[in-house]
Amino acid sequence: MKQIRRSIERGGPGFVTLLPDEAEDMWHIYNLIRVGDIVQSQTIRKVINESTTGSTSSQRVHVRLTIEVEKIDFDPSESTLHLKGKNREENDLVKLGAYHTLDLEPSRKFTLKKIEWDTIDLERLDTALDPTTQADVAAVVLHEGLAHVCLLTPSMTLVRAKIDMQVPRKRKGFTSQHEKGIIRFLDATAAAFLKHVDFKIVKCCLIASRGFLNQQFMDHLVAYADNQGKKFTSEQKGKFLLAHSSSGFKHSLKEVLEDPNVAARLTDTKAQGEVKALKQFFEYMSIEPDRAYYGYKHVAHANAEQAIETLLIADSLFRSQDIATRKRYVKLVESARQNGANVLIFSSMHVSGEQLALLTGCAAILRFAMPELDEEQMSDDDEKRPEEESIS
Amino acid sequence: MNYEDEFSQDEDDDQDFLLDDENYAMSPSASQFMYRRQRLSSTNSGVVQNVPKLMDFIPDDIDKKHDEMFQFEDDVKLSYQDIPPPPGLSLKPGNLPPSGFGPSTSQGKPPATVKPIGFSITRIGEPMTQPMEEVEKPKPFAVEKLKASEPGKRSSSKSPSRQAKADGWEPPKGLTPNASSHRLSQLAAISSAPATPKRQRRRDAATKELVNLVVVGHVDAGKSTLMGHILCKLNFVDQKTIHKYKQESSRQGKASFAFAWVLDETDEERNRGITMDIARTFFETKHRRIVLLDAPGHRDFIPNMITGASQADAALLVVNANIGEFESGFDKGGQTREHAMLLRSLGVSQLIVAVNQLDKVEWSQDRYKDVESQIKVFLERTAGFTNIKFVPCSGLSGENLIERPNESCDLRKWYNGPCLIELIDELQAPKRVVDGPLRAIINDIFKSTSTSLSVSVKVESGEIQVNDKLYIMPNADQALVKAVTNDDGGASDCVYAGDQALLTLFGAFEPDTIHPGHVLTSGGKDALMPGRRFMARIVVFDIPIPIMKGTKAELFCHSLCEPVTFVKLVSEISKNNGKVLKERPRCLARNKSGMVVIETERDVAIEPYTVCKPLGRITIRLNGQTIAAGIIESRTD
Repeated sequence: MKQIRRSIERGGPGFVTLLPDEAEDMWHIYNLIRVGDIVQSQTIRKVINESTTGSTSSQRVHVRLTIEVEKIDFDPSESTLHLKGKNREENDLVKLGAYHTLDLEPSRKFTLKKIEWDTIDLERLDTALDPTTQADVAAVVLHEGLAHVCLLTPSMTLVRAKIDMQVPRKRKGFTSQHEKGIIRFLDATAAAFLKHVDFKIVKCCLIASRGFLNQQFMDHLVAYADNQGKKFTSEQKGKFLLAHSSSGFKHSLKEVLEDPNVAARLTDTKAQGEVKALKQFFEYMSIEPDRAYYGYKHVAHANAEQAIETLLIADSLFRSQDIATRKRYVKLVESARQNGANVLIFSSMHVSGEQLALLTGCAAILRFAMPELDEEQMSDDDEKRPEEESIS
Repeated sequence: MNYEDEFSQDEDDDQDFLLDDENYAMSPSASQFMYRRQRLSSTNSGVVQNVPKLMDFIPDDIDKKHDEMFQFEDDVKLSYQDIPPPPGLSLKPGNLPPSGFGPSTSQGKPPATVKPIGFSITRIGEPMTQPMEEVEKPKPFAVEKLKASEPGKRSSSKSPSRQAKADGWEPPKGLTPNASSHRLSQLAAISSAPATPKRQRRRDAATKELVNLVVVGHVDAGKSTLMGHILCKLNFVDQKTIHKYKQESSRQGKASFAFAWVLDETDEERNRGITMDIARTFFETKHRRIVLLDAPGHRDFIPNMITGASQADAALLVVNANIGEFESGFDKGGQTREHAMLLRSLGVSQLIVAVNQLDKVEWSQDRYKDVESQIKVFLERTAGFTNIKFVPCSGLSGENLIERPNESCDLRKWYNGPCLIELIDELQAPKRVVDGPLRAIINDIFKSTSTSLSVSVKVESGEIQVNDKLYIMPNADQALVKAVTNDDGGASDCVYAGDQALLTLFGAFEPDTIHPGHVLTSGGKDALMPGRRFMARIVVFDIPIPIMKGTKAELFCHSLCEPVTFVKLVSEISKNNGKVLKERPRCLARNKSGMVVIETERDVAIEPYTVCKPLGRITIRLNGQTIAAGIIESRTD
């Protein structure tokens, strides 16, 4: 993403003009914009003219509009952001207060104005502007009859294709049915793979399954690509990495990323770091449960005691439409940092972030055991969170 | 999101409606039908609903043991009194305002009728007189209720819509037809459809009892070879075929796999020399018909093993007596333990342990005793089996399989007990719920076109006849049974609870929407209603990472495998007395037991344990490990 103009006071009002380049940037923008912000962008508006005789004609006009955001919609598969809101600056075509929906997409310039830019926002903006692009990873997790073809970018896991097919199981005397079913399934998965994975941007391809299906798929994929006249070069073949997963469901991707062999190849992706931290949290939960807490109430309490070593927090909490909630978490992050804690903000578009979001979105590994926290009830507030935010 | 809320709401309303029929069910004539359920006409078949349910609550010897292991039994006893009864039975009385379907719904009539059921659990084999009284009690109320509510509800239930939900049960107007509303109305229609009249037909008493036997054990214990050899010896595989296998396998340099090839039929399996999926075959012994399910032993294929074991009535655990190999299969990480625990949690209680490959240790009696004692301690103490039999044998050389060892064999010196097939012949078929509502689990789909399906099912309760009109849950697709074939190959026009069958179904099916784990049910009040949020009572296995709120795992139940999320940890309960130790715990650590709410991503056809046992037993796995097992208590959506 490119920054064209910026005028921001730390902790105060300001605006920034940005030009997003790729899908990843849209995700950052989605995390930046909140209800109440003011966004200005070029857009297309249908304008209806009524002539003196009463006949109407409609025209699509390119205009520059400024709206106050009321509703935000993010479409990860198309990587577009739809912002609905009321017009703030009147012009010849659009009245003040008229509703309009701005569509933001890569390579469309826009200006974002906020009354208050807090640390989380600024941090997010800086990450988004970081020019060192990290390579993508493609991953296929599969079991007989189900496959997910995913693309892992630094802050998102995008399911590019889900293949859910009925494969007949083996049956006495009719084994060919099973074998045919498997071939059909592998064909579909291979076709999806070739369609969605671009070897120019992908630096590594993970193929994970239980048993021997990963090897079988790999062989099939190579043969299939050959048949299609897209023979893999040996360089491309070198990007493949076979791994083990217990199923073809999306959440087993977490298991794949935890695998030490895979970890060695992917050390620099954000997903990897998140998976590691979450795993560590789970380990503490089993070995020393008094040093691992989750839920805002418990974590905030631990923070007050300066006990937090690592704070894991899901970015979905900062997207909360309730300003008070957001402030609460921003404060938590700021004060935890002051106390010297390591703060990790998880992307809820990753499997690990999804898992954390389900776990109230907020967890902490403590420096010392605080058994007294265990006595306290979890707050009701923590019970509700997962439902109210779920991005699909 | 929005429509989902609505959806669950609508479903609740359906249940609401259900109940009115339930009250109707308690008509004065109820008692006279109690013993002869199959003769009931469609209109009052609801009457009997309470009766088979009662049967469920009276655990037979076998199941009681199972419960003890997981400490379910005590809990079950306690909780019947306050948990809402199974959805089919009653959710809310029709005149009460709809309230949450949670453990608190203990007021109102239906729970009152359920109460005594809790007591009858303890008395095994209680005569049916007591339940009859129970059914009679609420009679006057029920009849009144029926008159008041019937007309309006019946008409509207055919197509519930937004309006229907908002202002009670007004006839809906302006229903927007889309896929989901179609499905909703379909579900409502199913529950209100007249139940198929029960038929009087019974299986010929003369036929041998059917036992579903699953063969489990650590990888390379010799399961497939053992069973392949038995099939050969019993002449269920012709000589020509086995000769061919012997030739081919020796050509590949693995002559010892010849018998295993009888069951391992796919190329992949033969090349790798391991079983990967359940092999299903059939044979007969002197007194039993056996459906054999040969499970894979490799840890990666445990999901396949679970689908097999969930269909089984009895199990054959094969252990390798070879020095070193037994230990690796039995120690931590070996499949012997995990398989045994899974069998127990899946409700299999009869177990034969075949100590295999004894020929490799020169039929040493010391080794046999050693293996036997180690396994026995584990199976009895940890897993809680009581009905265990041991038999020494050799699957490859064939000693002690179908006949007792002859004089020349070293085994004869110290063993003169029954051979393996004699033990199999003594297996007991569990009591089948032929009278229950129809539940047939689809475990495989061979052929599917847009108009017909050919599926393999295990009938868990009820019966299926040609020309029955059934519904496939959770999608609520209608299907007409065109042909029924028993798994032993013979065509038959009717299959009963406990049978494995092949069905040909006609209807309009979308491709790739029917999966294993879908359930066939008949219309009527006791039709299965799918859901996605369930309250479950679980026991956590020995796992490194505790279960927390939000943990994502895979749910296994009968032939179903779906991703599942723990959305709420309700309480941690004591294993010994079922008392709540802690409300809303932060986590459930290893070997703890607790109540949790689980949620699947899409609707699944599972039911509370009290309604249908096979559909209420769940196993939860994560990262290739079984993390918990338990039972479904209630549906909470």
